[in-house]
Amino acid sequence: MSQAQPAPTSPPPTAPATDPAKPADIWEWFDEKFGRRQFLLQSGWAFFWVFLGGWLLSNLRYLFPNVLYEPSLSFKAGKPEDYPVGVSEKMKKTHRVWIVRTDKGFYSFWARCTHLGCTPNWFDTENRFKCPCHGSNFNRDGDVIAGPAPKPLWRCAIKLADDGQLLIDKARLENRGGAREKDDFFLPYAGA
Amino acid sequence: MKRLLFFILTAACSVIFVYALWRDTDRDWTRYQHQFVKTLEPANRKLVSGGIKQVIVDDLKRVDRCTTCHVAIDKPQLALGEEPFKAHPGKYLQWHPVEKFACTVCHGGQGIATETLAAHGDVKHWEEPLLRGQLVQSSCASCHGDVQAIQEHVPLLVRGKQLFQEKGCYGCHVIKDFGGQLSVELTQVGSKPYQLIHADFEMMPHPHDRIHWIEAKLRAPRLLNPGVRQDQLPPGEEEVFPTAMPHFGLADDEVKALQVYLLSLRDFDPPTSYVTPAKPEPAPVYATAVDRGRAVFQRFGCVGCHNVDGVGGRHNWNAGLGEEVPSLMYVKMYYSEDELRTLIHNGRQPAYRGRVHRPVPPVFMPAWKDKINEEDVDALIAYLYSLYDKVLQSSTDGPAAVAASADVAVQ
Amino acid sequence: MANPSLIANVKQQVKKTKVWKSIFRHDFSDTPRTRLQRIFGNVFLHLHPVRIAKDAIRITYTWGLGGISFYLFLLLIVTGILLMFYYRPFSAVAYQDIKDLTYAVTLGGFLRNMHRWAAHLMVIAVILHMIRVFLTGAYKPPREYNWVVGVLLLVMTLFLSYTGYLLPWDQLALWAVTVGAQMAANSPMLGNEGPFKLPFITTANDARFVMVGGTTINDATLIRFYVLHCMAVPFLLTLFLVVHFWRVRKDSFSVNTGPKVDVWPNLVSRELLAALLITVVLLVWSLALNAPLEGVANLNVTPNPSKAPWYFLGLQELLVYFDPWIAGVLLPTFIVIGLMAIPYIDINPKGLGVWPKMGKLKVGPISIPWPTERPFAVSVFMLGATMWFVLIFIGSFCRGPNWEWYWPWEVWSHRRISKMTLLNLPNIYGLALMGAYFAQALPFPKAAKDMLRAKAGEKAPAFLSAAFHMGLGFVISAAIFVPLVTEQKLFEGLGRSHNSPAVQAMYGWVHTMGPMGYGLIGALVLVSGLLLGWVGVQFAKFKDSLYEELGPIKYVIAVALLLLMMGVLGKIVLRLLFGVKYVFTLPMFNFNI
Repeated sequence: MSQAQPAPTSPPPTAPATDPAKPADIWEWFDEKFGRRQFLLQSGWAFFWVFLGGWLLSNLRYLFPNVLYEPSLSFKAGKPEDYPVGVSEKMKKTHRVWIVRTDKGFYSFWARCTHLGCTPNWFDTENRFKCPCHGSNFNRDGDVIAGPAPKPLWRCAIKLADDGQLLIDKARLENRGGAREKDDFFLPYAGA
Repeated sequence: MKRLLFFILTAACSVIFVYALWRDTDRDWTRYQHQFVKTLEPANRKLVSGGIKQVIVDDLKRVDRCTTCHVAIDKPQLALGEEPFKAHPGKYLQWHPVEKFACTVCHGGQGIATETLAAHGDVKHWEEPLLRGQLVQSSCASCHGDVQAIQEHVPLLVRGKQLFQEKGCYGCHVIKDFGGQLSVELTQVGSKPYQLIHADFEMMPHPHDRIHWIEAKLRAPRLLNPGVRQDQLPPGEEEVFPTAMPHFGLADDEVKALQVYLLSLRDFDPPTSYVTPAKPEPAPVYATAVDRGRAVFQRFGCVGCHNVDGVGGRHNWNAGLGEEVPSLMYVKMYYSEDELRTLIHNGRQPAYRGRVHRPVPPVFMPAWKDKINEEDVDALIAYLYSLYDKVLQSSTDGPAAVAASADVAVQ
Repeated sequence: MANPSLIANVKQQVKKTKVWKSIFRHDFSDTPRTRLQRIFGNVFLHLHPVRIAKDAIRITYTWGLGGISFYLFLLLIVTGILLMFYYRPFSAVAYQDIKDLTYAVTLGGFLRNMHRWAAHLMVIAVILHMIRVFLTGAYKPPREYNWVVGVLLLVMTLFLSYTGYLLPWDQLALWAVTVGAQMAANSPMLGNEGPFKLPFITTANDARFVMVGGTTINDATLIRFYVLHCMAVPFLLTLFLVVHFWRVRKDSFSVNTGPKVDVWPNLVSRELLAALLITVVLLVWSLALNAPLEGVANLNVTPNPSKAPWYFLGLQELLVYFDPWIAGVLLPTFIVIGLMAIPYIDINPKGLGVWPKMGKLKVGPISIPWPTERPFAVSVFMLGATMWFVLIFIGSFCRGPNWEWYWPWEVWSHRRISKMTLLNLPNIYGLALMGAYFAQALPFPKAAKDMLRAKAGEKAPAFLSAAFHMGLGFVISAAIFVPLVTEQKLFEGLGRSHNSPAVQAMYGWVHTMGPMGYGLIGALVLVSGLLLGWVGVQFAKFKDSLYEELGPIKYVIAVALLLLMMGVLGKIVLRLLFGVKYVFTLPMFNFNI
């Protein structure tokens, strides 16, 4: 009945006469196959699937929220001179990032283990980030030095805002060696 | 057989259920309430109503059920001599009505719980244990920005704050954007998550809570953070140094005072209507540059490493000489004013000069350039130079001998 | 004196009323007719047939596990509905509501305990039910489809547990869900951090985003999980449960020969007793042990160690050995698909409706119990099940802070510094290792054997096969050991992997014995190569007959699944013993295994 299952006995339209079980007249056959009744039924099914498929897809789309009640992904993190050389956990609580100052400048990490998203802790004496979930360790550059994490920590875009504060954007992330040490992901800052 | 099984199982079900029901009704608080009501005159009994009581304060996000057991806390006329039936001492409840402040905001503990241990916060997974005895003073600073104004009520808090400066803690620790950067920030140490203290807990006896951790840390820092020696580590691992925090040799009352002060540093932001803001402190007036310099020396925590009046002698992994922080008594002999200024401005980089193959230890002279303003640096230099003069005065042998002995000491 | 007759009289009168008759259509005297009427006159009982084979309802055949699972599901619905009266799915109050249940609601804590422990019991019951159905061959034709439905039900049961886990909004919940959500972010194509990422995928539209309802776990996540836990998944599960039951009836029971008995009272009474027994167990458990509740959820502080509920700990343990998308997405998919494929691959008609007959297998001097009728199917399935539970055991009892290995009797320490640093096997060795490993599955078709026999003599096929397997054994052995000895990174340079147990031992030999040590290592390579080759040769004949029996397609599926399973085991051994982080890595595809 459905269009997906053409009757197996129907012969190819080029050779209708060879099959005695089929109507001799090709028009009759055509009418049965593609005539008004068939047309109504088959296009009915087509509409049915269009509706059902569309409805299901739209429901899937419905599940993706368009607005979020979340803190903004980019934020200001205070004046650069407030940060000493080293890893600062100041912004971890509110925005889940670390801000690292080296003698050359600033970069910032998203405080989220690249393995499964736990929040690692910074251990100053051991000079590494350690993730409590599955034991991944990262060094000050964010590279994996132990554990199952497959990738280095993500760095966030960082720049100076017009008012002289650090501006960090978590929507833009980078962790490849080379790319992460330049452009928007590293803020040169002298005066250490 | 089946019938017997059926009988046993149904019987077991109902017995267990009755037991569960009984256990559910026989709580700590029901027993306390019965005990309390029995002591009352029949006429007074209607003053007390049974059941779980709670104080809801939306502003502070509190639901406190403490009054369920502490039935007479606001009824001194009914109160008895023993806990939990005592009345609240002092006039504190008049100043801080229960309906506005609830209980746990000052006393800690788990207000929502109705079992003794859990309510007092002495259980796992509750990180606000009851602030017993004088420790409760630490809560006052949450709202009273101007602690001096209530100082007769919070002597330990005032003392602790003062000690924190005197002992030079600011040299290494930051509180609210002020202080040195060598060690951990203490702005919210009073609500530090236990997860971050777990390693220290292993080195101290029970109970493992924040209160006792602060105490243990103040008494003997090295006991909690002894470091990991090279030979205990797999090859290639960097040695973990013991904590650089000096042993201050604090007396019991000093420990208590500092404990109260540190516990008062919390991650708690009460609504503005609750807060009395701190008065701006009057700019101190100093008679001389040396006095001002001494104040600077104290305020920025130089004391922490260089010791009181710069006599030196604190342990330091970096120091080239005897692993001790150098004394500052003789800086006048070795540094010109400009050299000293540069040194204060830029600090000393943490380069290890003793054993080269070992990693960089965490203690070094920080750079003070943007933290101490120029006039203060001038005063500081004046103060440091005055130390030498003091040495001269106190010495009967005269300057030459002092210089000679200083040379010996430096070598 | 008049009382008994009076009561009887009243009973008679009541039974004569129209109301009574409209509800109960038959009387309750114990006659063959009423036994039958009870079953088909009652909407709930008529799930049962009227009569059933006596052997099918032997306790020792089914252990009542399916019925128990269903009963626990009902209990969970009832306790769950009751809990919903007090629970508000908002992050500001959810945790407080759970505390309230414990501290301020009559029997609230008890109900929560029952709900939590019943969920655990249900997971156990469902898994045991599956094992029972496998071992008694009850999935064999015509019941293949019902086995597939059963696997879906197992997946949904686990998903129900997972979604319920977030609702208390405590640390345990938050971090279990964080880990789970991160797996979604690592899924291929649709995850922002997964391999083969589609070009338009970002953090704001990937699989994790739709699961969590945003980019961080917050109120949106909580309401999503609440709806899934309370409405969506139970609805789906009920639908499939109906299908499952219907198919049990339509396909008939796996035992349907022999004498039959009336379902009322024979089966119904057993069901009642089983339900009562489970109730007693659950009541005692709920009284003795409180459901866990940790501190309120805090995204800034991850508990150390943070562990998933026990039935997911096997999966969490796997996450240590492979890239997240492999351990978290690919392997579970393979497990589920593999389980579903079982009835279509296993075409052996034997063993239907009976527990496997056990014989003895002699291995040298020891004899171990061994199934005689379906040795391959049973041993493979049981190996998989055992592996799963061993992984769960490791995750539960052998992992401490920072997911370090601790023996169950050791005291955890947050100060312990990682003892074993891991290094990758060079890709070329990894490739050789995996190639040789999977090449072991190559069958030697009969036609090829015949051809060879005709060309090169009677013994040629056997000789070739032996040489082939021995060769593979040596390749595998060499691919593991050679890099450990020769590659500077792994051995001489003291790249810290040498403190893995095996390498440490080898290092010790070299140090104490000098060149002799190298000789010893060489001997070890030789012996393990021989051993692996020998195992291959032993299985060669069986493998070939399996190939003839199953045909190429089923053979490939079956053997691929089996080798993957054994491969996971092998990787675990390589990690724990040799400190190998990954055998083979393609960082650009996150393909790290």
